Amino acid sequence: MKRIALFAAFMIAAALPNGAEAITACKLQQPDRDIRKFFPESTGYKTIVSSLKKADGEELLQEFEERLGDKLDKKYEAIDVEHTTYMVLKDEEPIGYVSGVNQKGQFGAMQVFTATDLEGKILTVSYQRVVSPHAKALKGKETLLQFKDLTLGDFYLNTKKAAALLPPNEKSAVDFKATVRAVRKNLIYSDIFNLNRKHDKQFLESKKGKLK
Amino acid sequence: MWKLRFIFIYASWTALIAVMPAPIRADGSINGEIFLANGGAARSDGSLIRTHRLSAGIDAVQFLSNESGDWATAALQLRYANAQNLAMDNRFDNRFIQRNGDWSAEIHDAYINLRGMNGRANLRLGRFKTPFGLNPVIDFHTELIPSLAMSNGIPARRWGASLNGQLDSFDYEAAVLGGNLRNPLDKKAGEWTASARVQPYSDGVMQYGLSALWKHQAGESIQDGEQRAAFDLRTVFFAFNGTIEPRIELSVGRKGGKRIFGIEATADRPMDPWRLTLSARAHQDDAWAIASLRREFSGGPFSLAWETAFTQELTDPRRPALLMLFYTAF
Repeated sequence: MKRIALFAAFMIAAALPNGAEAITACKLQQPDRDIRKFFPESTGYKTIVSSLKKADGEELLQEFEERLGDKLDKKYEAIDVEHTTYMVLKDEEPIGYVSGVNQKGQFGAMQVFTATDLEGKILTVSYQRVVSPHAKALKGKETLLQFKDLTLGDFYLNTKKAAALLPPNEKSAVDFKATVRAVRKNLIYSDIFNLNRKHDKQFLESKKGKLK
Repeated sequence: MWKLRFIFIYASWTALIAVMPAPIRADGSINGEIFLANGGAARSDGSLIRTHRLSAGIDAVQFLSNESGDWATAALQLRYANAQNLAMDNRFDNRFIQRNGDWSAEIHDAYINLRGMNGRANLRLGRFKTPFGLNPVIDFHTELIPSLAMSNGIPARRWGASLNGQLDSFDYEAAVLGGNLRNPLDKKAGEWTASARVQPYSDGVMQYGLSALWKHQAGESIQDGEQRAAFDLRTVFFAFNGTIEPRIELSVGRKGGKRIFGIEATADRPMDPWRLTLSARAHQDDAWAIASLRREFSGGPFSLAWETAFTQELTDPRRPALLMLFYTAF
């Protein structure tokens, strides 16, 4: 009887996604307070958990990498990694989204969060974790304000505003580049999972531009 | 009896999620875990001990919501486990706890946290981590070195209820917890714990908490109970082209009329994929120094880690030092 129970337990555990990979998911550590900070007028939020694997598997991974213009890291950005979105509500009406991603920085893993409106326009970018000798400069108000009002379309088309994103100083250039990658990656997740691929139009436009 | 309780909890939790009324939405994740830890320990006197822990289980978190947003979080962490010679709760201790290698069901987390006042006043019911010191904020799940709470005999998890919340300037949790209902035959079943922890808000890398705990065994006089107060601190700083992540927990109090204390100072140095951990721990009876080196390999659906830990008891140097070698697949 014990052997049957043990076998059943192993089979159930093996059939489910692996827990160790889920550890790398990026969630707000204090979601209640953080959501109120991002959206002071909010009255609640809905937590939505998704992953590339759950949504469409390998095919979606390829599309994702194409939109990012880079390969995803097999450990930190694996296909199973869960992406948590907080749909922010005011009196039962959605008013925006908050979500975050893990990103490998120059000196270790960073966690970057974006708050956007319902159209995917950035309202705030913030770090939940950044370990760098330049952390203070990276977290500076002026540095992060550069992202305000950008959309995924700006990144796809490399508009003037997206191209003008500058690190606070030369030494922090590597970590700032990682931050830009994290923001773009987060917006792609949001576009696919929450915005019904609203910005695919600009992506296709950018592809055409490259072909010309 | 406890097996029935285990099955009952799992079945009720699954049923709760599966038959949720239509206006209530559940989203989250259910992950399976197979954990194999096999190793051996060599004492400096030449004796060898083989140790292992094998387990299969699930980690599940579900966010329950309606039109107004999330109203509760439900978490369940179950394991069917076999441990031999070594209690994983106390792995760094030289004094091995003999286990007979029987399989047993373990309930780690099994709670529902009901949100109130937009996250400012929530009610948690079930089995969860005792809010004391570093215990609720550090995940020791797959590591060789456990929390100070575990080594000091503070209940790491218990059944009970807590009021918790995230205010603009601090987080708090105050809990009343019962005995070890995972195994009602356990002598600790008649134990009651009240504990609370407050963590001021910090947008920097340094976070600290203040805790208080009162533990009472049924049949004991009030004076024989245990009272503790603790201060804990975690931070990260940049040095030698990488990060150093220290954490400290200091607790003082009285137990059975005697003064007690516990102190832990640990520093992690991640060097992807390696991690070096140095730790010094002491309480009223013993002191240890621990060095651990860990390397993780990941690929496919499984991860593999091997860890080497060296432990020396400081209060009685005649006690043999211990070198542990482990591989862990999870």
